[in-house]
Amino acid sequence: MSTPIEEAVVVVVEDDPLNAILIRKLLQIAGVGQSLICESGEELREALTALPRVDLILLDLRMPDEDGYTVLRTLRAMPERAETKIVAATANVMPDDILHAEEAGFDGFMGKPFDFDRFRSQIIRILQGERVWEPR
Amino acid sequence: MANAHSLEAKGEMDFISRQRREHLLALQKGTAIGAAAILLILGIAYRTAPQVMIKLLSPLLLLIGGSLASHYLLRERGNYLLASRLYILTALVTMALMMLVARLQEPALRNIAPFSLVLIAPVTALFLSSEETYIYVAAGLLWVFLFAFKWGGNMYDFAAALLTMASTAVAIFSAGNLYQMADWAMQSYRRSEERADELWQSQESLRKALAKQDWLNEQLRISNLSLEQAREAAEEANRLKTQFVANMSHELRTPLNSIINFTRIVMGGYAGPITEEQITYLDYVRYAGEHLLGLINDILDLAKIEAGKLEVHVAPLDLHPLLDGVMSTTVGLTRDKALELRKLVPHDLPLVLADEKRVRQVLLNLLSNAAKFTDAGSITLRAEVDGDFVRLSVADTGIGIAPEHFDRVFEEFRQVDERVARRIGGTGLGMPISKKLVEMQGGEMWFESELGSGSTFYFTLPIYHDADGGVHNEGGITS
Repeated sequence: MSTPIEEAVVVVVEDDPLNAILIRKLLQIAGVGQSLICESGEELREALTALPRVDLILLDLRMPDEDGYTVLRTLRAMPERAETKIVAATANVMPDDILHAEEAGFDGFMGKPFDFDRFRSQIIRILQGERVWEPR
Repeated sequence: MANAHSLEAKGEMDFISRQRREHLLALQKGTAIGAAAILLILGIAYRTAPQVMIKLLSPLLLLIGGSLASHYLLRERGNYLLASRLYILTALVTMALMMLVARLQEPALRNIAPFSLVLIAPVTALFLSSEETYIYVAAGLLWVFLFAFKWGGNMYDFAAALLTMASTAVAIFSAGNLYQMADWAMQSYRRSEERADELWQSQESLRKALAKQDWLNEQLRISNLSLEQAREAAEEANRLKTQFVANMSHELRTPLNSIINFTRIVMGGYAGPITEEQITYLDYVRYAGEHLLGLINDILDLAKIEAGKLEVHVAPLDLHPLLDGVMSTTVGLTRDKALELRKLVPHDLPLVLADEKRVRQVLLNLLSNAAKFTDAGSITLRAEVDGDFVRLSVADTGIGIAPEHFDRVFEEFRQVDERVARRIGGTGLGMPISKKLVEMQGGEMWFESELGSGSTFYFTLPIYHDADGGVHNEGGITS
């Protein structure tokens, strides 16, 4: 069922340019097949029209125009994306943020700064359908 | 009037005295006017009866003069006793004078005169005490008898005397009754007035008490309101602080994510070949970044503790790999110091019920503190079973803590010695957070220390008992 990491398609929604470059590099090091960076929810929805299959979306929560929760709701309203794992990748790691993310229906939670040594295994576990909650 | 007013003001003039005074004034005026009227009539009738006019002139003038004088005394001087005595004496002397001047030529007048005593007696009883009345009436009767003996008495004199005595007795008796009744009525009236007054006063004090109660209630309401406002302001300030800490954490984590992980990418050779020296320096960058992250986490933990949101997730935990892990980290911390690191942990250590991440946090805090404050000697990490608990301890041979600073150790933001703190660094948050974390996992934390010789920090974690009450360790179940 689950996609091997080498074939996985991962989209990152990240408004901070340095973090966007970083995540892309981390995904590349982890061996992810294909990765794409979007700066906003708007850009993500455009990108999705050209991508028939997306295995994982790493979604920042705090973004200027449209926050991660709103983006999550629009994605959850798309039946064709029911198989796509959506994980909060955020520097908001207060207990309320984690609880909120869980209630909103995220499949996982990765707190920033990411743990370099665990990053690859986290991605693999998420792709295998495990709920990964590692706020760090 | 001025005197009457002053008497009233003194409150000494009661109802009966006032009545007596009014009556006496009226009687004095009436007597003077009556005598003057008789004088006028006699003047008009002078031609037909000149003798009568001449004879009655002096008694009538005396009566008018005495009445007016006593009237003046009472009205202007307010001397009731003197005025009433003067008035009675005037009447008596007038009677006597009338008898004297009328004794020869006017037998009718002379015979009628003693009967005026019958009038004088009750009047006296009205205005003076019964004793005085007896004295005046007795004086009048004495005069009548003396007069009768000297100038020849007759049956009229004795009739007048008898009537006078009877009239005096009746007058004194009825005046006494009258005044008693008036007094009783007056007292009753006064009592009811007093009661009404008391009632009014108690109503008034009740009204005042109610008004005061209202005022107090209002004050209470106002102070409650300001208390509520202060509470709201404090809550708002606390909310803003929590919000600030959350924002700060977010804003620092975002660049730290880049710093730490780009460093790891370059160190890992993912961005091209790299020298050993570069790896060493990049490891310093990574370490500095991790340290900064630790501080942010401490501050965040403290905010969570204050907001009551710090959570520990306890699970059965084997301490061995955890203790190995923190020891190897400590080796890195003490790389540049001549320190002996020791780990004294029994092989059959039972599982504990604890939060792995939080136990690691506490141990790293204790070990990094020990490394900071110890320049020579040793740092010993020890674990041993103590009843239902595993007791972990970190002992050092460092600078130690002075007894007077013992109570600062677990205080937030407090560092035991500020001079040492400036040299060594730290936020003053590690110890209070560690203590709180241990307590949240059901353990306790304490320390022993001697200035100059070193410190030992202890904490306990509860041993894990399975559903059957069994205790697990590496070798299996022991009961």
